[in-house]
Amino acid sequence: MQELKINNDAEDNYILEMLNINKNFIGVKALEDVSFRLKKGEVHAIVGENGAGKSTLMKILMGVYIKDSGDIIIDGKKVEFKSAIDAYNMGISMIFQELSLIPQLTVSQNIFLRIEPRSKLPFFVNENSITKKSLELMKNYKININPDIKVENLNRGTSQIVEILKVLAQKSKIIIMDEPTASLTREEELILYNIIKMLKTKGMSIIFISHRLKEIFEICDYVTVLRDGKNVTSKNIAEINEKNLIELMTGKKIECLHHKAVTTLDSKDEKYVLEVNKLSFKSRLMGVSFKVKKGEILAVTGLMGSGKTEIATILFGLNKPDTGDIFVNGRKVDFKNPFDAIKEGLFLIPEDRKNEGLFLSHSIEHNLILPIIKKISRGSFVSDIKSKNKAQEQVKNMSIKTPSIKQEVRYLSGGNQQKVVIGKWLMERPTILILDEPTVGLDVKSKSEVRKIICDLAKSDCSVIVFSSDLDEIIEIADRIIVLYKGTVFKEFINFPAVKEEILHSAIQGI
Amino acid sequence: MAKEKIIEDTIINQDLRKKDRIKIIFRSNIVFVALVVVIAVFGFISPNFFRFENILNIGRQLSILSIMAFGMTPVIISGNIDLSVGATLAMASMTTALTIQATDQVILGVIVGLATGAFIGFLNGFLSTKGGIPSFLTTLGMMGAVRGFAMIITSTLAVQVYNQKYWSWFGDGKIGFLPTSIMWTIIAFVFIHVLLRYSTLGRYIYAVGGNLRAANFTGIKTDKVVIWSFVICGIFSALAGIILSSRMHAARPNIGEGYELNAIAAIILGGASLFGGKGNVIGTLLGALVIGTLGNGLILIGFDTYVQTMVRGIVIIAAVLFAGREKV
Repeated sequence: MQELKINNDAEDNYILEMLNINKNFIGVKALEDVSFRLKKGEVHAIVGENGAGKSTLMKILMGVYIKDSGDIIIDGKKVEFKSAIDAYNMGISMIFQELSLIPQLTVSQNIFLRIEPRSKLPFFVNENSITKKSLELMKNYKININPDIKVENLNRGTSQIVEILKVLAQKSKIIIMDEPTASLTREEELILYNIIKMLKTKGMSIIFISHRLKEIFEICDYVTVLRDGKNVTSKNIAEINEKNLIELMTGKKIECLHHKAVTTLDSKDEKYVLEVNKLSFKSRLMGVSFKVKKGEILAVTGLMGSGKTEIATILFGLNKPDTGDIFVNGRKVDFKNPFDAIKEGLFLIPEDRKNEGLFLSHSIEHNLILPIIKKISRGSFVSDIKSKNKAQEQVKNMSIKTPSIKQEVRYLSGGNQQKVVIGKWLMERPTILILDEPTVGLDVKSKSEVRKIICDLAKSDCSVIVFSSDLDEIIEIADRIIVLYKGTVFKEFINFPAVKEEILHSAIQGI
Repeated sequence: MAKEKIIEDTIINQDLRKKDRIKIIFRSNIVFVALVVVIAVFGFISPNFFRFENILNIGRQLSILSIMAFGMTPVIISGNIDLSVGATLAMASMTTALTIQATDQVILGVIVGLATGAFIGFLNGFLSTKGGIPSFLTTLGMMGAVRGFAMIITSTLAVQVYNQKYWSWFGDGKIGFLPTSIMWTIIAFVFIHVLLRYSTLGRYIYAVGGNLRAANFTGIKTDKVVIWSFVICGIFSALAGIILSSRMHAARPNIGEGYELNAIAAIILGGASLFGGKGNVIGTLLGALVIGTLGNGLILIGFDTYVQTMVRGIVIIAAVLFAGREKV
């Protein structure tokens, strides 16, 4: 890596230069004189808060938006992109955060979609050659996925890898990765890092967009920071540290990112709000037991397939356990559906906020008010005034940024959307709040805001269970940590003093 | 697609410029624009169009379609569809007429008729939720089954009803200058409007149609909500059937064929989304008015029904096209 750096500095052979790019959206300056240079064989991070202009810049590079002014130079030649096809033909491709795979097709069919090798007969695809080529491709990058399996049968992490393979099959020169690790487990992350390293040695250039600063330091060579549509800086990654980077991104001095709740783990207070006893579910959970105290934040972590999701769904009444008991406040409960769970004050904030948490085409008010609608109604009729006031209040409490509570939720940024999902469940005081990957895909600032909300909640005596694969997050907010491995509780840690990340890491791997 | 994205990006940050705001308002009220255009055109061509008699005439003709469309609006908003409303209309008119013929009790007949509609609606809802069949298929099957059953009862014969009360309460009567069928339309409109706009069930209907999974995660009993919206739809289809048979002084098993398509067209014209979560009964009313005035106007200026059918189809496609595709 050292060698590579020297090489790059010695000769300025940029594969891509975007110079003084300007872009306005109906009166809003999205990009102002932004420049960006990418070298051959470089992994270049672009960071910034939501709305900083990262995605606009990338969409211009992808030919989705057309710049107002500025130059794009590829391999020393000036280019004008009129559509996404133009950019594609210049060897630029993007790995989508929201998967662009077709679930009903197989892995290999997806990889070679649109570039299928033809058979001798016209109109027909040479299926054998697709499978063979996929296997070759995977071998090149040391990946092992059955090419004949349908994508709908894969989990999200593996699908993401397939998405990457799809781009690799296209023989691009520049690959844009937008939050590629957002849905990956640590294992899969490492596979991805390996792929990136191999791509580098093959001379490919990668633009890497991520909110996870740790991984930027782990695999990127160079970083460009954007803020409010302007260049802040471009630096070699060795010249900068994480704290600097956050300050550059937010434009503020960050005092302390940690909001560690100081809950006393008082042994005298043995009142458990939730007890889970020997939960088994198919072959995915094998006798999982744990307890949660009042005002405690319990973090549950583990690899994908370790049983995290299953526990969450069972606790919320979406699945029925094969065996095992759940006690809330000492009383045995048997939830048949989410309605029963909610009645007991047990709320779940799902991981997939767009598909499971929000009504995107409805207003903030309607989203927030839905769980308490019966309480603000007289008979069967909703009180408009109460509904408005309650929603207004919550928007303020959660500091959701919006011009009005009538705003449709889909127009909000990711961070604000997540605040709506959480705010919706805090309209009433939960006894137990379950959060599944609460900060996935959020920017640094929103992440820390959401974590603060969680800690404040625990301080006010609500019990919180956080299912998360973000170890930083777990260490930052949890009082107690449970590590699952292959459907059993593998280890348990009291997070005071803070557990070392490496220890947690090996526990997750079952070591 | 890029254009929508731009609008989206802008709304996040600040208010839209005036020009764009007008564009959005125009798009979301396309049905109103369509109605004004239709009225203006026919008012200009035909001097009879604006006569009070003709306006009442349109209202009377429209009452059946409107009531069915109002009733189906909650079903569409919940993300479902009901193709069986025309058959339900016929079936309910038959049970009503048979009951009145046998007992001479109008109220009893009406109750039986509405219950028939409610029961068919319940079956639709139950099969579409608990049975796990998409409502398009459930109600497609129900359409055939119910229509066939209505035919079998009397071996396709009409059921004549001689009952002055029955005629005047629904089809023929007037309160002051207002025909009773228009009065029933107004009642249906207010009922559905209040349901959707002010009731908890209404909010749940929007939620279920907006995002079924999220609604389930919110603890809403989604099956129950869908079943209720089908029951309501069935009841209003039955009401439409009662009014129609009262106007004809007889119930026939073949009435209301193809009405479901007009009702769906009115709802979609009114801005509801076939994917659910969006729409309201005011839009449906305007949609029904567009379809109704279009038919009436074309007859006034001397076109036959085939031209009507054709023009109606074109207007629906044009309106939906102008409204722009909605990205959710």
